[in-house]
Amino acid sequence: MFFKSAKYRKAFLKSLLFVLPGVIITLVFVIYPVINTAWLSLNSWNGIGGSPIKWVGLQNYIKTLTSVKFWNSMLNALYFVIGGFIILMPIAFGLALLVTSKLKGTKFFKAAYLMPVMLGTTAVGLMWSFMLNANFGVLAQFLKAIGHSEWIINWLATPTVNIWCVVLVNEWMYAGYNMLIFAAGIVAIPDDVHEAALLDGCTGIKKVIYITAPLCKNMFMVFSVLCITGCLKAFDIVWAMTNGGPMDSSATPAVLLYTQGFQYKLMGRSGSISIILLVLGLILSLLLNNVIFKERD
Amino acid sequence: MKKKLLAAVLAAAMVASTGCVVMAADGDTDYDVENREYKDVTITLHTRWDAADITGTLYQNIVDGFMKKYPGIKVESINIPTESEWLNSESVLMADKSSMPNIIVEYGGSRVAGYVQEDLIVDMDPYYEQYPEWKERFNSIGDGMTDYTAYGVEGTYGVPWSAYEVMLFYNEDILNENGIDPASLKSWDDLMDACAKLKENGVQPFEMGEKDDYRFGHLHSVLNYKTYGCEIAEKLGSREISYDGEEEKKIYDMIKDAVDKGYLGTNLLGNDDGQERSIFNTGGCAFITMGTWFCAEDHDALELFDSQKVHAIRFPYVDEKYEFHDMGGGNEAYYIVDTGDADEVAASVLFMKYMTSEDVVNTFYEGYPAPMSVNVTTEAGDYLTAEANEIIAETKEVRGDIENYDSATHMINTVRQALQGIAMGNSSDEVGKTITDLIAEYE
Repeated sequence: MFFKSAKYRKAFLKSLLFVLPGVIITLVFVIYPVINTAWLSLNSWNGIGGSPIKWVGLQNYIKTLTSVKFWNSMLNALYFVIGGFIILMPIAFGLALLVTSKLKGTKFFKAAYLMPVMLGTTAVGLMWSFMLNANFGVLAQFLKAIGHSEWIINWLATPTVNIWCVVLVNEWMYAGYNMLIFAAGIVAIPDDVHEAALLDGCTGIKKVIYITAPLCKNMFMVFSVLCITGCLKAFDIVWAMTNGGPMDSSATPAVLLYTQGFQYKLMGRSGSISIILLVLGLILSLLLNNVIFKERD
Repeated sequence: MKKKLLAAVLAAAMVASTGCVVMAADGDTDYDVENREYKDVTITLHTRWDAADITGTLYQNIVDGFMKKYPGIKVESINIPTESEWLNSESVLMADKSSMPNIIVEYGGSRVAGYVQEDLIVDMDPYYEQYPEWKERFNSIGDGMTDYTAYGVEGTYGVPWSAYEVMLFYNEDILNENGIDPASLKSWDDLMDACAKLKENGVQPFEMGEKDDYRFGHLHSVLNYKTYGCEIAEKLGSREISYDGEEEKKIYDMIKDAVDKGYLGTNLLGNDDGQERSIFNTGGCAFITMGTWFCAEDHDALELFDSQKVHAIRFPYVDEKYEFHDMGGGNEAYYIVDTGDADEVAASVLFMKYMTSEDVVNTFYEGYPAPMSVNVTTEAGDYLTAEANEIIAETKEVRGDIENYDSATHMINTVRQALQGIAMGNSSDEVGKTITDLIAEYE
C-alpha cells in the first residue's frame, strides 16, 4: 500500500532526481564505453574513423592470450603488485605511524612525504630517467665516485631491471599518498584502546602488530584493492620513464593496449586486452573483499 | 494532356536548371577557395611544430599572417614535437570523424594510405586545376608523398612541404687529430676502419640515441639503399624479400657488428636523439648520421659550427653501384582531412595555399634553411646547408623510411622495435624472427 501512496511516489521521484545525474554519468562514461569496448574486442578495426569493422568473434582474445608480449606485460604488472605489497605497503604504513605519532615536526613530514605525488607523474618520471641515466645520471656518478663503475648498467634499458626501476619509483612516488589511507585508519582508533594496551604492557612493535594493524584492517583492504587495480592499469609512470620499451620489455598491460591500439592500429586486440584487465580487476577485487578480508562470524 | 506535358517539361527544366546551378557551383565556386566568404570558420592543425625550436616562431608567424589576411578564419593548432607522441596522438584523433583535425602533417606512405583509402583525405587535383600556378610551386622531391596509385587510389593527396636526405656529418678537428681524411670515407668499410682507429685512440665515433627507435630505423633504411639500391624498398614491401632473409640479416649484422664494437654509442638505449645531437655538437663524438634538417637547426653559440668544423658528406655506400642511392625525399607533407564541412575544407586549402606561397616559403626558408619540396627563390643558409645541397644535387635515387613502402601500417613500429633489440644484444636471426613473427601475428 505504501508503494502506491502519493507521499511515497513523491519521495521516490525526488530521490530518483538526486540519483539520476550519477546514473546518467555512469551510463555515459562507464557502462557505454565498457559495452563498446567489449563489442570492439570481438571485431577487427584499423582505428581509422569510417573504416569497416569486421566481426572476428573470439579471435582477438585467442591472439592476445597466446601472445608473448601480453604475458610479459602481465608479468610486469605482477612486479608492480609484488612491489606494492612488499615495499609500498610497509613503507606507507610506517610513514603513517610516524606522522600520527607524537613526534615533533609531523606536519613537515606529512608535507615532505606527499611532495612526490604532488609533483606529477611526468615530472617524476623524467626526473628519475635523468637520475638513472647511465652516462650522466646521479646514480652513475655516485658509483663512479666510490670506484664501482663496473656496477653501472643501463638501468632503464635492461629487461627486468628497467621495470623494477619503474616499480621502485612508483613506490617512492605513492608512499605519501598511501600513508594518508593508513593514517586515517590509525587516527580513528580510540585512545582508550591504546590506554588499555598500555596497561596490559603492550607497547612498541607489539602494539603495532596486535593493536594498530588489526584495527586498520579496513585500510589494508582499501589499500589492497587500490593497489591491485592500480597495478593492472599502471600506465603513466611507465610511459614517462621507458615508453614501455625497449622492445616492450617494460610494458604493462595498459601500455600494451595503448600501443596495440594507437601504434599498431589493432583496435580489436586492444579492446580484448581492456576487457581482460577489467574482468581480472573485478575478480581480484571481489576475491579480496569476499574471501581475504571477509568478516568472520 | 497538354497541360500535364507542359507541367512535366517545366518540372524537368527546373530540375535541370537546379542541376546546372549545382554543377556550376561545383565547377566554378567550390574549388575557388580564394573567392569564398569565410565567417567564423575554425580549422585545426595537428603538427609536430615545436614552440621551443627555431621553427616554432616561424610556423606561428605563418599562422598569424594567415589569420590577419583572412580574419574570418581562425587557425588552432595541436603541436606535439615528440615524434612517437605525435604519431600516437594523430591515431587517437583520426579514430573518429568528430575529433579529426582539418590538417595533419605526415610522412606519407602506408600510414597515410589508410586514410586515403577511407576517403578521409581531400584530393588536391581539382584545386591544382583551379590554381595551376600553385601546382607549379612544388618540385618533384615530394611527389612520392602525394601519389597513392600503388595503393589503388588515383589523385593527388597532400601538399608537400619539407624534404631531406640522410647524410654523414663529421667533426673536422677530431678526424684531423686522429689522422683520418674525410675524403677517404667513401664506403661503409672505410667508415668502420675510421671508427676502429678512433676507438683505438679513445675517441667515440658515434653516440646514437636509440632510445628514439627511429635512429636504427633510419640506419637500417639507408644501409639497405646503399647495399641493394632503392628498389629494395618495394621488394621488402611486397615481401619479395623477407625481413628474415639473408639480404636483411646482412644489414642487421652490419649494425650489430658496429654496435658490438662500440662504434655506434656507449649508451645507445639511454640516450635519445636530442642527447645524441648535443653530444656531437659539443665535440663528444666524431660522427653523426642525420637528415639534412640537422643543417638548419639552431647552432647559435656552438663553437664547432661558428668555426665551421662540422661538415657533411654523402652516407657511405656498401655496394659502389649504389653510391648515389640515398635515404631521403619528401619529409613532411600536409594532408587536408575531409571532415564533411565544406567551409573547413575550403579554409584548410586556402591555408595551405598561403603557407606554400612564394613569400611565405622564402621567409620560412631564410629562418630555417633545410631542403624543401616547395620551390624556394631566395638564398639562405650557412656553409653546411651549401655542402648538403651539393650532395643532394648529385643524388640519383631516393626513398624514405623503408617500412613506409609496406602495405601494413604497423611496419614502421614493428621494424624499429625489432632493431632496438640489436642494442639489447639480439642476433640478426632474432631481429628477423621478431619482425616476421609480428607480421604473422598481426595479419
